[in-house]
Amino acid sequence: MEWLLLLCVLSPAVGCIINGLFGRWTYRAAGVIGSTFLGISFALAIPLIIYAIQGHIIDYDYYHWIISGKLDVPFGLRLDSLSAMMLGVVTFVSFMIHIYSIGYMGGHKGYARFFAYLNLFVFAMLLLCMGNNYLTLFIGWEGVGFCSYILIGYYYEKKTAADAGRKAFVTTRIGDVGFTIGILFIILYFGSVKFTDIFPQAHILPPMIATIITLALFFGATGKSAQFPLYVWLPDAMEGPTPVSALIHAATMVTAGVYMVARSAPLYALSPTGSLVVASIGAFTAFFAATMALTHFDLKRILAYSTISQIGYMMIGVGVGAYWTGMFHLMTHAFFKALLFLSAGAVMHAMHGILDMRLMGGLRHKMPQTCAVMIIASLAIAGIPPLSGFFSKDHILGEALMLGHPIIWMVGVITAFMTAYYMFRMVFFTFFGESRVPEGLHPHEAPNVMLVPLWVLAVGSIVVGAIFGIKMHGHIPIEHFISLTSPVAFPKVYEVNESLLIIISIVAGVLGIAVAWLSYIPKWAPKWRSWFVRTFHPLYRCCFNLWWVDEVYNCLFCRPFWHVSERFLWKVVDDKLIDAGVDDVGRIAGLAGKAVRILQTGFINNYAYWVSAGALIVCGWYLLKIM
Amino acid sequence: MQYYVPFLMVAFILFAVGAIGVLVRRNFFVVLMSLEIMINSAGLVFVILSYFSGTISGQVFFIFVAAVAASETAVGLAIAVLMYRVRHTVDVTEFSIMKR
Amino acid sequence: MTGIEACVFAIVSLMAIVGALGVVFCRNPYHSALWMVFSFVGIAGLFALLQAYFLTALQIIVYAGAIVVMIAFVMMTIDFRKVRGLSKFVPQWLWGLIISFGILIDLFILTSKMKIDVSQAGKNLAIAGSNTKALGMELFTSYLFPFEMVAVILLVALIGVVVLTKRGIK
Repeated sequence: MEWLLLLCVLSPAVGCIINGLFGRWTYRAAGVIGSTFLGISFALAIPLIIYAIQGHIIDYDYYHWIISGKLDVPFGLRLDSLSAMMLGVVTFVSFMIHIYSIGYMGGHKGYARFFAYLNLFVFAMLLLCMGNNYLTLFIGWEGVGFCSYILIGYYYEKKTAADAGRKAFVTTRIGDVGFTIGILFIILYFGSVKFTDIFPQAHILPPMIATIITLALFFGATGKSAQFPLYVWLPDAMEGPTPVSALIHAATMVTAGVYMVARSAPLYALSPTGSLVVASIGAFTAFFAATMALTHFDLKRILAYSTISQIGYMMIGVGVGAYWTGMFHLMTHAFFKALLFLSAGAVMHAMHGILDMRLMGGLRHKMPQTCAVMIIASLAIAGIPPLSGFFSKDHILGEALMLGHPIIWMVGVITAFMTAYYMFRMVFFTFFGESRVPEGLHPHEAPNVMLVPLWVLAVGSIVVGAIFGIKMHGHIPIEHFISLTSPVAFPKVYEVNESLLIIISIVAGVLGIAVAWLSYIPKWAPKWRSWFVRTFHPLYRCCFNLWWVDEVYNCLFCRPFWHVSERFLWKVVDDKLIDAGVDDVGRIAGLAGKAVRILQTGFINNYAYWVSAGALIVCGWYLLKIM
Repeated sequence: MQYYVPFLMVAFILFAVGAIGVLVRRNFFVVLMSLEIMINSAGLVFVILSYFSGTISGQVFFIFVAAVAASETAVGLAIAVLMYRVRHTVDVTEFSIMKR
Repeated sequence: MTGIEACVFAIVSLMAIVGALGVVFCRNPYHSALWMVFSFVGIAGLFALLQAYFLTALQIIVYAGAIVVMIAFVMMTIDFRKVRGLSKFVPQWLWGLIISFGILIDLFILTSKMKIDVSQAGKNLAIAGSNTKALGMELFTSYLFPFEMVAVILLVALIGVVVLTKRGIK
């Protein structure tokens, strides 16, 4: 079984090697090859997941990677309920997105390169999820970061894309510093990085240290999972190809932080402070990102902010201690957000790269199937029963309230209302109303190779929540399953009537949709809208300009950094100190070379003399040693 | 005096004589032959120590040494032929293209 | 060492050393080649004394036979009468002698300091009385991979020689 697991993880790497090294020859077949290896991975994942559902755990060290003193870092994989769930989500969603990419990327430059990167990404992601220690997790963590960087900058001739890639890389790297500090603290206190060594003896940690470790790890998660204050890279990451946005920046990579927090549940359980910080940051990010999504006109950026907001929800889930709710939302979100991105990609494909919603409208006649799946996904994210988003979001909010965080619950409900509003604003803007498509563009339905994954994901978005989220035999399946690994950390504070909560969240969702309908569909809607904008002008400006966060960061961090770099580091340190020093060293070497050049005669017997003289000296030295 | 010392002495004398040949002769072919003698004396040390320590590995190594020496001679002769063709001499003191 | 062995040892080592001196100090390179055969036969005799019978045969067939003949053949393609000054030594010949003697003395002293466990001397060199069999067993079990590598080295040398010598010919 453990070799099956290894095979499952390595299969995408094989695809990457084939496409990466032989891409020149696999040109047309590259997509099929990449998808096949992912298909193998997915097929192998099924028996593994069933094995995990039966309650088995695989924890196997394939070889010892670093042995230094008492520290022994193995390269090992672990399959338990938590990683089994991630395994299923990652392989399935990636498989669908690979198939979609065959159609979407067809004819693009560097087709094979794209699939090589995508396969490499899935490999790194599987390593992240399946690793049985923090360092293996960290390799995967950095691996997905690197893949994210190269895939955002996939159109590297485009300056904005290259810049966005760099921004993503640098921003997540700031978070990684925190993550590294967390790992170092773990090594310091436990002398091991293996989960099986750390978690059983987690209680030996002093509470202060537990808080430091959890906060450091969470700082890494804010970078990777685009939480406040390090979320700024994610909207820019939309410069990458749409399947990349769907796979990396919606479904899998950005949720790695949530997975990591859930994986470290025994540590977070020790630190109520750390957990509270996680939940508060999550709630704040969820709300904050939702406000930014309200007024945008760029299709993919709306989805990006919505992703940030939804990950905020997951952070609420894992932060309040109900790890299963966060993981459950991660799973449902992977389905409907991938679906949203892919259908946005289908729209973009049809519109020849246009993403501005002001140039769309009325597309439902031109692309009815895309419209249908988009509405399904939006209903799911808005939390309308019985679609999947409803169950997971409702569980998060319910647990947040029951575990004693009423303010977070309230923020969550308001955010749910905003989510429904902006998603349906997007749907109405794009697919309904009058056509504002520019002359000469003829939008068309996407090819079948793209539509099939869309429908598969749509079915997933509808049923996944109901399958795992409805109470059966007295317990909720996903709660039972995830709690095998990461049980709920804190005791219940309030007993709340669950049906009341359900009604509140349904009302929030329906209200959001209704407001969106009112402001975009009726004849008098534009008038109403302009009245609203005039009345709440400052608020609208704030939202529209994204609260000037990018500008603030620019002034606070980037500018001083540039100034210090230019005025001091470049002009003084580099020019005066380093360059001058290096020049002098070079000059000395040159002079020495001139002196030694005399010895270089070019006659081979001279060299023979020097060699034998050297041998003589070495022999003599030995002689002196033994005498 | 130990029983293996005369054998080693012979090997070392051969080595030194070969080294003299490499260092003092001008004819490239004689240099090559002297090199053969040096390599052979090194192989001889392997065989001697194989005998006196009672393991056969030394003899195996002589086979490897012989193979490498054969390749070295072949390449050396090819270079000699090439130099003769280009410079019309096989005098090692005339070969100084490494400088220019 | 029994008396007869000592006698044989004296004769073959003298052959080897005299042959080597002949190689180095003969003016005519063909004479050098012949002295080299003489020296190699002497070394083969040393091998026989050391019970390396297979290597004795190898030494005579491969070295005294093949390699010397190869060198002699190549020398025949070169007209030494046109090349002047070859019979002289290089200008720095004195330094060569000094360095070589220095190495020799170094090695002698090292040998006298060296300690070898000779309790196993002369054992394990043959299986069922056959040195060849023992050598083959060792070569094709413990040293199989190096053996294959040596084959690759020979192949590389072969290709290298062909490439080098064919370059000038169009």
